[in-house]
Amino acid sequence: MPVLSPEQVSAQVHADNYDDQIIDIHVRSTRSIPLSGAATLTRNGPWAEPVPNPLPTGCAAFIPEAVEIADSAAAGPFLMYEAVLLGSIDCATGVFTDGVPFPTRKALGITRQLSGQVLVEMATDQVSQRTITVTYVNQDGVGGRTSAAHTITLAALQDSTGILVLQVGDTGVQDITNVTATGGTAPSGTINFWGIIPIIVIPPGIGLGGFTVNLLAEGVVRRLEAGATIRFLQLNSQAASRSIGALRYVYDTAGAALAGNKNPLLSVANLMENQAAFGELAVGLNVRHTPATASGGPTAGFHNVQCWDRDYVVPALGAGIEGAVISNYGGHAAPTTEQVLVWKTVMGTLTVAGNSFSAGSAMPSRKHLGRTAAEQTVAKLPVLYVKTSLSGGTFATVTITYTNQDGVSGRTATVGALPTANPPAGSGYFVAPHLQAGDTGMLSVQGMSVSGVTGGVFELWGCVDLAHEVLFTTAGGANVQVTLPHLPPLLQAGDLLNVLRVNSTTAVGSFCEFDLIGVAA
Amino acid sequence: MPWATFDDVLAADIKDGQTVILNGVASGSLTAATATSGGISGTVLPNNQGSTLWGTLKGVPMPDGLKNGSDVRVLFAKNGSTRAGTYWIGLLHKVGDVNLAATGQQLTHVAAGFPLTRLKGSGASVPVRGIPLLLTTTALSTTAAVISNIKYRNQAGNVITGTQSFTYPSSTTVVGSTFFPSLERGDCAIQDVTEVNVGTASATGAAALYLFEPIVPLSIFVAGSITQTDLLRGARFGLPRVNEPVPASGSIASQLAAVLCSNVASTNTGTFLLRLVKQA
Repeated sequence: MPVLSPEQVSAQVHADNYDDQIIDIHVRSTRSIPLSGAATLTRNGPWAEPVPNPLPTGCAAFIPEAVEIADSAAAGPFLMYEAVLLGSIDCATGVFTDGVPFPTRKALGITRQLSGQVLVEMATDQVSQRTITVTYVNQDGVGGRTSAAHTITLAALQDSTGILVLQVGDTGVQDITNVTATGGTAPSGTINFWGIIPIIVIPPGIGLGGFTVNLLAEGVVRRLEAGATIRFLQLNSQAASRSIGALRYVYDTAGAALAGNKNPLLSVANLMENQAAFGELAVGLNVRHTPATASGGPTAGFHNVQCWDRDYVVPALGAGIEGAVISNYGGHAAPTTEQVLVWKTVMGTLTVAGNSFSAGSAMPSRKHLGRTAAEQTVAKLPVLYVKTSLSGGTFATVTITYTNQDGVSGRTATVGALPTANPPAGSGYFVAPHLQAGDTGMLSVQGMSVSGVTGGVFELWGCVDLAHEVLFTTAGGANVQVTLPHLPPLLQAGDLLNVLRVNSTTAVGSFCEFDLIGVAA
Repeated sequence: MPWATFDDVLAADIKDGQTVILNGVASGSLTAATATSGGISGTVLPNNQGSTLWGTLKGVPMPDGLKNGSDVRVLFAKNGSTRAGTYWIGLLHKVGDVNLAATGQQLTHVAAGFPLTRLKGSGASVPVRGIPLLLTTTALSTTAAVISNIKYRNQAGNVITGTQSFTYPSSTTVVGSTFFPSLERGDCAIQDVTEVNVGTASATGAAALYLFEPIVPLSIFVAGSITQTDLLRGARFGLPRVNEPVPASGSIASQLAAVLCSNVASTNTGTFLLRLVKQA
C-alpha cells in the first residue's frame, strides 16, 4: 500500500527511508527579462537533484515532504516544479531539436495527456537576438497553435527565463512541434523550452529567514517517478542572489491504492488517500492581466479588478469521482494586491450597441464538499466584466436586473458611473457593493442595460471564490496563507475557472498554480 | 525496531528524551560576503563552552549515551538568537584546512576518507550531500586572497574541476567570517572537496573547510523573536537523525552546531534548545 498518512510518513523517516538533499544556485549578477511585454518575471532558481533512477530498493516513488530556502536577496518566491524538456533551439542555425511532450499520467481518475506552461530558458548567454515563434499542441490536443512572436532581449543572459505567451484562448501546451527563429546579426546561443508541472510555491525569505514549507500539510501530495527532473524557478525577480536550501523526500511504498474518500480536505491522510486513488491534476497558469485596465471606485465596486481574458476549463473526471476540489493554491503578485481564483458562470451578456442583452446561465445547484445533496449555489462575488473595450462615450452606467439569493426576481443593481471613460477589455467591477438593499448575491440575471457609451461588450460573471491569497507585502509577494472555503462546491467537467487580480490596474503577468483533487462518489 | 506511530515516538521521549542546550557564543562582527565570495554570509554558532574561536568548535554538548553509537533524533527545537535569518542546526563535517597565505593547491584534507555515508532502510549506503562552508580561522591581511577554483565531488559523485573563483571580500577579512563557495552551474551540493587552488595569496590567512549538513530548520524572521520547530507534526513529519555519518575510511569528529545564513554578518548570540530522543 502506498504511504497514506503523516504517521506512515514518519514511520518511513524513522526507518531511514528518506533522502535529504541540498539545493543551491548562485546568480552573480542581475539576469535579463528575455521575453518582452507584460512578462511574468522569472529566472532560474536553485538547482536540484533529479529523482534517482532507479529508485532505491523498496521505494516506489519519492514523496517531497518539506523544503526551506535561504535567499540572500529575498526578492521573490520560488516555484518548485517537475520539468519536461519539450525541445531546444540553436539560435545560430535556427534548428529546433524536439524533446518530449508533457507526460501521460493518471489525473482525476483518468489517464490523460498532461499540459501546462512553457518556460523559455536562456541555456547559454545569447549573442544578438532572435525572434522566436513556437508551434504547439494546446491543452485540448489541438495542433498548429502558435505562440506570440517573442523577440528575445538583446544579449539575454544565461539562466534568464520567461513564460511563453500562448495563442488567445489557450491555457496550456501538451507538446511543442516546432520553433522558428528569425532575425539577429550573427546570432548564437541555445534556448530550452521546459514544460512546467508545478509542485508548490515557496514564499521568499522575510528578514532573510527561510520559510519551511511542509508540502503535505500545505495540501500538496506528489509521488515522483524515477528520473523525474526537479527544478526551481524564482518568480518576480531577476536579481542577483545566492539561494541555498534543504529538501527532504520520503520513500513511497508500493501497493494498491485505496478507493478514495468523500472529503480529501478533512486531513492530510484523506488527501494522500485520494491522491493515490485518483491522481492529482497539477495546474499551472500564466495569468496575464494585460493591457492595463481601468480603476474601480465608490460607484464601481470600490476596488480595481482585473479579469483574465481566458478561462481554465475543468477537464473530464474519471468514473468514481463525484467532483474535484482545490487542495492547494500558490501564486505571486505585487505587494498589496491579491489573486482570487474563482469558479465563474456567465449569467448574461450586454452588447452596448443596441443595448442588446442576452441571458446566460443561472447559478446551478451543486453538491458541496462533505454534503449529501446538491444545493443552490449563489454568486456572492458577481463581477461586471468588460469583454470588449468600451467606446464612443464617457462614463458608463450599467443597470442589472437579477434574482437574488432568496429567489426573488426583479431586483436591481446599478454599477456606475464608471470612473474611467471607455474602460479597456479586461477591466472588472465588483457588483456586490451595489446590490439592492438586503441582498447578498445573485442566482440569475434577467436584464442588463447601459448608458453613457455606444460600443463594447459587458459580461456579468457569477463568481464563487475558490481561493483567496494573503500575501507577504514585501519581498516579491507570495501567498503565505490561502483561504479556501470550508465546504467548496464540487467542480465538474466544463466548469470555468478564472483568476482575478485585485487592487491594481497595471499590466502584469503572474504565475499561479493549484491542485485539483478528486472526491469519491 | 523503528517507531511506527506518533505514540511510539512520544513514549520514547518519556523514557529517553532529553533537552540539550547550545548556549551560543557571541560571534562578534564578521566580514560579510559579496557577490564574488559566495553571495550569502554565514555565521557559525558553536557552544560557548568548549569552543576556542575559531579554531576549536564545540557543538551541542550531549550525554555519551545519546551520542555514542545511538540512533538519536530531534523531536523539536527552539532558537532564541539575536539576529534574523535562515538558521539550520546541522552537522559540521571537517573536510580540511586551507592556507590562504600561499598560492597553488592549499587544501590539507583530513585523514578520514570521504564521501561520508548513511545507511538507509533499503540497506544502501547513501553519500551525505552538503553545503561547502569556509570558516576563516586566521585573519587575512594586506591582500584579499583569491581562490581560483575548487575541485569537488558533486551531489551525484562526479569529480568536478570548478571554474567559479572566490574572492575574499576584504583584505582584512576577520576570523570567524564564514562563506559558502559557489559551485558550477547545475550542481547543488558536495560530497567532498579535494582541492582548493589559491590564485592570489593573502599575507596572512587560513580557513577551515567544512561540509555542512543541515538537519533542523530554525529560521528567525524578526530579530529578538523566538522560533520553534516541531519535527513530528510540524515542519517535518518524522524526526531527523543527528548521528554522525560513516566515513569511507578513518574516523571523523563532527560537531552539531547552528549556522546562520544571512546577508549581513553583524554580531550574533545564538541560543538553542533541542529535544533529543533515542530510537532503540
